[in-house]
Amino acid sequence: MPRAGQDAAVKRARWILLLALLQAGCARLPAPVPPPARRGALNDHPAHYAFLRERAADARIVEGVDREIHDDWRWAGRRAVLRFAVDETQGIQFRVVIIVPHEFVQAGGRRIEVRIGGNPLGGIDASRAGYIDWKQPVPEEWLAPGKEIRAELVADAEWMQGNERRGYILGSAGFTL
Amino acid sequence: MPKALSVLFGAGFTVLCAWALGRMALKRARMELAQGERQVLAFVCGAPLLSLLMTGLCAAGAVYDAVLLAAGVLILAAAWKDGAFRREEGERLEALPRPWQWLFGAVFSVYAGVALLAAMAPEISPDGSGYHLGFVSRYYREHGFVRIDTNMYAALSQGLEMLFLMAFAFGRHSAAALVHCAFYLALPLLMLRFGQRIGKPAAGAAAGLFFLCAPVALIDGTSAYTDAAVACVAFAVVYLTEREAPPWLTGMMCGFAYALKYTAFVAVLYPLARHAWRKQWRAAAVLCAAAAITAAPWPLRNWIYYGNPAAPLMNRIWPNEFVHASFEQEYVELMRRYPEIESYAQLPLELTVKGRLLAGFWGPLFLLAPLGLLALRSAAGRRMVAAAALFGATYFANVGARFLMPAAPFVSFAMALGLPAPLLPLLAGVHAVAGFPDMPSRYMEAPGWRLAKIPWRAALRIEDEQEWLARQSDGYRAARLVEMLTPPGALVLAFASIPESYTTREIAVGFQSGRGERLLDLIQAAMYSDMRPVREAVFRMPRQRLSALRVVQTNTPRRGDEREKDLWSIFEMRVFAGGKEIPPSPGWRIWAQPNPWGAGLAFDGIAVTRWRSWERIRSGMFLLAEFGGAVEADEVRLLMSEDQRGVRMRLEGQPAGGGWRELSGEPHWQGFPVPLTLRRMAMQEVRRGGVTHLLVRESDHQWEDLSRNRRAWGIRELGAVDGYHLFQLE
Repeated sequence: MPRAGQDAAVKRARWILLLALLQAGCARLPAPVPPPARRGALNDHPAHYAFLRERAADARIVEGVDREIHDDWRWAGRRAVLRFAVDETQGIQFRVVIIVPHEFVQAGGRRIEVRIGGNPLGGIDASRAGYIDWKQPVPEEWLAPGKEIRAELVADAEWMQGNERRGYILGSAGFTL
Repeated sequence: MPKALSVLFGAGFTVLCAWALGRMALKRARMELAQGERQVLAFVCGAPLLSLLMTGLCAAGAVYDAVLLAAGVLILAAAWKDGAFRREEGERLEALPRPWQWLFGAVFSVYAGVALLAAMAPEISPDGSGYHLGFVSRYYREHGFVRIDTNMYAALSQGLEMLFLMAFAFGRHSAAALVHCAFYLALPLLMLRFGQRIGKPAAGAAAGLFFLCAPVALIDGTSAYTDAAVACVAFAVVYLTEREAPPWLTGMMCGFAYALKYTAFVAVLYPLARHAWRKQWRAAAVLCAAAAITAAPWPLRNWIYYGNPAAPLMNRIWPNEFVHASFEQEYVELMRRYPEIESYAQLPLELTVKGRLLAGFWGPLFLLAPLGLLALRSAAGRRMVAAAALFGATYFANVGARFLMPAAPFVSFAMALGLPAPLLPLLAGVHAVAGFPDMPSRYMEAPGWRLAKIPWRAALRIEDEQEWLARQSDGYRAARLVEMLTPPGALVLAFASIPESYTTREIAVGFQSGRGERLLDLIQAAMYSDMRPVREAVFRMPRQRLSALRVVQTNTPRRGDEREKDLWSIFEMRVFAGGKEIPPSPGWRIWAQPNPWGAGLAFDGIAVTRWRSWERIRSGMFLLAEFGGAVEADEVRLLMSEDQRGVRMRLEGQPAGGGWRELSGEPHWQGFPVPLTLRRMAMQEVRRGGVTHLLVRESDHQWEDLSRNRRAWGIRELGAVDGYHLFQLE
C-alpha cells in the first residue's frame, strides 16, 4: 500500500504508464531489417584524387613527391607532377592541401603555380607559413574522361634538409567537386 | 459568364445543402430561436454534417459529380419534407436602433458585394491555390482520399476542404472560395443576432462590422482558406453554449472546429467549463462524445496513412517517415517568430497598422483592443473576454495576423461592449472606410497582405481567367508549364511552392514532407561542400569477435549552442578486419534510433545516400548492425559530412553472448575522396525515389549549380517561364 504522500506519485505513474501504452499502441516503428543489397561500392583510392598518407598514392606520383610517408603527408619538391584520371568533367575543381614550412618562405618561396595538362590553372600564395586548402574550378575542356591528366605544382623555391631537397608538405591533391 | 454561373452554382448548392442539414439539426435540437438566428445558425450548424458526409464519400472513394449531385438533391428533398423551407415564426429579438439598421445594412451590403466579387475571382491566394485546393483537386480527380506523402499539409484536418470539394466539383476554385466567404459573411450576422439576443443589439452590430471590415479578415475570408470559418464556428460554439443548446449540437460544433483547424480544439473547453461548473457530467460526456465523433476522421486517417494521429505534429511521440521531427522543431520555432520579428513588443503595431511582417493586419481600430477589458464590467463582456482569451491562447504558436481570426470576433465584441456606445457608429464607420480596398495604401507605408483591388471583371469572367491568373498569381504559368510538358503521373520535385491546384501533376516541395526532405537531401549532399561525404570517422580497436556493433552519439548541445540544430548523419558504415572490409550479408540486421527507416542507407554502398537522425542531436542516438553470428573486426569506418560538428561518438560492441561495452571513444578523422560523379549519383537516387522532373526557380539556391552543371547532374531542360525552369531527369 502506498504510504502517505505517495498517492499522487502512484496516480502520476499510472497516467505515465497509460500514456506510454497509448503511445506504444499507436507508434509504428519497423523491426531491425537485413541490409539492402549493395548497389555500389565506395572507392577509397580513386584515380582522380590522392591522399598522400596512403601507399596507394604512389600510383599517382610521376615525379617530385617523396615516396616516404610521414604520418599523413609527404614532402613535395620544387616541381611535383601527379597523374590523375576523371570520370566526370563538368563542375570539377582541382584541390591541393599543403602546409608551407617556414624554411620555404625563408628560402624565398612565395608562390606555387598549378598547371593542369600543361594549362595554367592558377597560383597558390605560399608567402606565409601554414596550412593551405586551395581549390580552383577546372575548365571542362581541359579534362577528358578516362584519359591521364597530369597536374604540375611548380614552386618558386626550395630548401635543403640535410642532403634532401625540400619544398613543402603535401597532404592531398586531385580533382574534386 | 457560364463559368461565373457554374461558380455560383457550386458554391450556392454547397451552402444550401449545409443550410438544409442545419435546419433539420436545429429542429431536432428543439431550440427556441428567432427567425434571423435560425437562418444563420442553420448554415453554420449544417456545415459539420455536410462535411462528415463528404468525408464518408471520400473514404468510400465515391466522389463523383453524379453522387454529389444526388446527395445534395436528397438532402434538399429531405429538408423540404422536414419543413425546413417553411417560414416559422419564432421569438422576436430586440430590434436594432434605426441608425444602426442603416449603418450595418449599408456597410454589410457593400462589403458583402466586394467579398463575393473577390471570392468569385480566380483563386490566387498562396495557400488556397497551393495546398488547400491542391488536395481538393487531387481528391476530386482520385474520387476520394489518397495518401499524399509529399506534403505535410495533407495531414492537417480538412473539415472545410470537404465542403470545398463539393463546391469544387461544380464550380472549381472560385466556388470553394465562395464557400469560405459564406462563413466570413455569416459571422457578422451571427454577432449581430447574439447582440440582439443579449439585449445589446448596437454592440452586436458594431462588433460584426469591426470584424467584417478588418483588412486581413476580408482578404482571408474571400480566399480558399479556413480561418474565417474557424472564427465563425468558434463564435457559434459560444453562441450555442450561451443559448443552452443541447450538448450533442454544441459538441458537434466543437469537433468541427478541430476538423477545420487543429488549434481550434480549444473550442470544447468553453462549453465543457460551463457543464463542469454546473456539475452537469452527463451533458459534459455527451458534449465530448459528439466532439470526438465529429473530429475523429482526421486523427484516424492520419494514423492509417501516416502512422501519427497528430500528424504533422508530435513526430517525436509518434515517429514516422512522413514528417521529420527536425522539420517540426524548425517549423514550430519559425512560426513562433517570423523573420524580422525580434520581440513580441512589435506585434501590436504590426498587427494593426503595419502588417508587412505578419502577412496581414487588422486596421488601426484594433489599437483600441485593450479597451475591450472595460467589458469586464458586464457578465456578457466577461464571457467575451474569456472566449477571446481561450481562442487567442493558441495564437503564439503562429504569430501571423490571420491566426488571431478565431479570437477576433470576441475581441471585437468586448470592444463594442466596453467602449462608450455613442462612439461605436463613428468607429465602425471610420473602420469600414479605412479597411476598404485600397484605402490602407493611403495611410500605410507598405501595407501587407490585403485586397488591393476589387477584381469584378475577373470575377464575372469578363476578363479571361488564364490571362488574369498569369498576371496576378506568381507561379501559375509554371504550374501550367508543368501540366503541358510532363506526362500524367509525373512527380515534380520543386524547391518552393507553386499554385499546385492548377496542375494535375504531383509537386513535391523539398521542405514540405519527410519524403521531400530526403529527396532534397540527396541533391544537397552532392551540391554543398559541407554536406558532401568528405571525411571518415575511423574507430580502431583490438581485433575481436563481436555479434553486434553500434555507434552511439553522445552529445546533447545546450540550448543556444551553435551546434544545437545539428542532425547526425552517416553515408556509409563499414566494418573491417585486418584492413579488409567485411561486406554486409543478408544475415545481418540493422537498425537505428531515431529514424530506423533510413538505416539501410548507411549500408547500400552508395556514397550520396545517408542515414540521418532527422532529429536534433541528443545523447543516446545510435546506428546498429547485428551480425547474426560472431564476426572478427578491428576497425569501423563511418563516411560522414562536415555539417555535424556537434556530433560526438563512441563505438560499442557486443561480444557473443555478452552485453554492450565501449570499444572505442572519439574516432580518428581522415579525408575521403568525393566521387566526381556524385551529382549524377544523387539524381539517379532522386529518380529511384519516384521523381521524374525538377522545377527550379532562378532565385532558388540550387539554381546556379543545377543550371551550370546540368550534364553532370543528368538533367535536361524542357522549358522555362517567368524564371521557372523545368528539367527532366535523364
